[in-house]
Amino acid sequence: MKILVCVKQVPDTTEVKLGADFTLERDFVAQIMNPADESALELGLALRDLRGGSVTVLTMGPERAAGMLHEALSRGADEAVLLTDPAFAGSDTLATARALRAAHDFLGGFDLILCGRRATDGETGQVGPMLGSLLNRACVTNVTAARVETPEQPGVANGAVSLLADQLTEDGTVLWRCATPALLTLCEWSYRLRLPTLAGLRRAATAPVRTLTAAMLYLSPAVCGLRGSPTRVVRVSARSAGLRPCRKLTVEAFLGEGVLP
Amino acid sequence: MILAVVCVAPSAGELIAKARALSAKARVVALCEADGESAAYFGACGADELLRLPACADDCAQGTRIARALERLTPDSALFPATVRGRFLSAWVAAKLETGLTADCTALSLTAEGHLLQTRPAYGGNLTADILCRDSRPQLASVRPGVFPPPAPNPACPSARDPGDGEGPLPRNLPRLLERLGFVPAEGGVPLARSRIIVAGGKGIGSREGFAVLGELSHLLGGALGATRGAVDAGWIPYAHQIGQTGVTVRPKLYLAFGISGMIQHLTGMSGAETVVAVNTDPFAPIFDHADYGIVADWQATAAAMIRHLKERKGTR
Repeated sequence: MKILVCVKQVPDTTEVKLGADFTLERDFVAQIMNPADESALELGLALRDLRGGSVTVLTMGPERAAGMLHEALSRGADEAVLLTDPAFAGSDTLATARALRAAHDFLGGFDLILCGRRATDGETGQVGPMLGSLLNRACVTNVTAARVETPEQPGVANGAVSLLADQLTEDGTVLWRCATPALLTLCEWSYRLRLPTLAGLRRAATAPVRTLTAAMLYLSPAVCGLRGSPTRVVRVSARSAGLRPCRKLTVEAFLGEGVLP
Repeated sequence: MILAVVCVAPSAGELIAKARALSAKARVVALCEADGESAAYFGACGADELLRLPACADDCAQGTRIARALERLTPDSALFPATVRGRFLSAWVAAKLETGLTADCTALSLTAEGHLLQTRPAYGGNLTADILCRDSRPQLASVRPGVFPPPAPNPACPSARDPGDGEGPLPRNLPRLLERLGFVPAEGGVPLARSRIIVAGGKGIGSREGFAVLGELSHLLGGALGATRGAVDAGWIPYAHQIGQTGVTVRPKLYLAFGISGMIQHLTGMSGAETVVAVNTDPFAPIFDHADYGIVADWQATAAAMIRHLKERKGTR
């Protein structure tokens, strides 16, 4: 099974510091692999160990994201690809999904694509299902567990497997069957990423991270980055809505107010 | 102006009411599924027109069908409920139509030029971002259940009729990608979204035992127990209790916030509460700017005093 795991580097905190002009001081924050993507990577590694094949990790980001890819290699990924180009700067979710789709096709296609269900910084959870939609393949979001369904009848063509995936929703868990090629997005806590092995660390130290640019993927600037993004952030502000006039008092005085029923 | 609402969850009624409020002159079209809430209900919420989608056990195919329906309808905007399913469908549709999508909007309005101004928390919920989709149509947005007030359905509304022939031209024989095999309802569901009183704790609570104390208080009040993302991430309380951008959105009559600093990520989920009481040792904690009553004190002493007060009152009755 040929597996692609899409990962993203995110700031290692939910409290990004703000500069005086409301710009984000992202450069001063440690960067980590998005937790839900770690879960996706572990599922990919486990399925490969079970069924054979390979795991390729793919990220779109600045050059420093190569560090995260090396870490993925040390934990067992077979190949790492960094999609980096100034032309990608300012991509919204659709422009990101387009670039990932182009990289997916460039790398020759995959039986299974795994993503985190959302990143801790953007929290849109859109890139995964958008990628699935652009590729028009079976897609299940918010997956807590997935397994390969054993074909009931012998003689099923080699490679044509179906997956069973548990999807966490507001009211419970939905069980889906999807035929490969498929795309799943994983919840943070679904699979705990294995630790690096000595052999993995050795390989990561020498294995090259393959770099792809927009031109290599024949992506025109009109569909990349800020230009290729239909949505535009027009204003960022500290929250001011919902302010209430707060009466400060002691707990004794508060209990005297009769607010508690 | 045509405003479409994709009714794939009961909370879509709130979005129809919102679409109606955005523009009195707009044509509000509800796309409803045969196995969802009754089309008449969505009509009573204020939709001018109803478009029926066949029920479908393949969400990918249903997403493609919704995309085709919107292509024919050419609305200016389309709103989706931001449930797990609604979010998936919205992203699937946005990519099919190559248009912009803003997830989890907390406010929607129209600009002077008629664009949909979409506001959502950004950067871990510390800030809010205003987002426009100027050139692509439709402008897609998803909104969590409970962000907008519940609708007041009017069954006498003339739009509650059912045109009933919407599904004809929609594609029927789409290739099957997914098969829904079953559903297991969540056990011991936390009725947070419907609770009239909520006692919530944040990072300041510090432990599982701390949440047990808040649990006792919420029990005495006949309410439900909530938490911030920080407390859930620390493992003190399960995710089902999480309130905020990445949890549930609540609109209780009374919200008691213990040891919660007041990050936007959390405020987003509870700003619709009628009365907010905040307890924090830090007099400058942002939560106080969003509270009606503030108690600058240790949460444990305050919770203990409240528990004592409630037990004494119970005893004297």
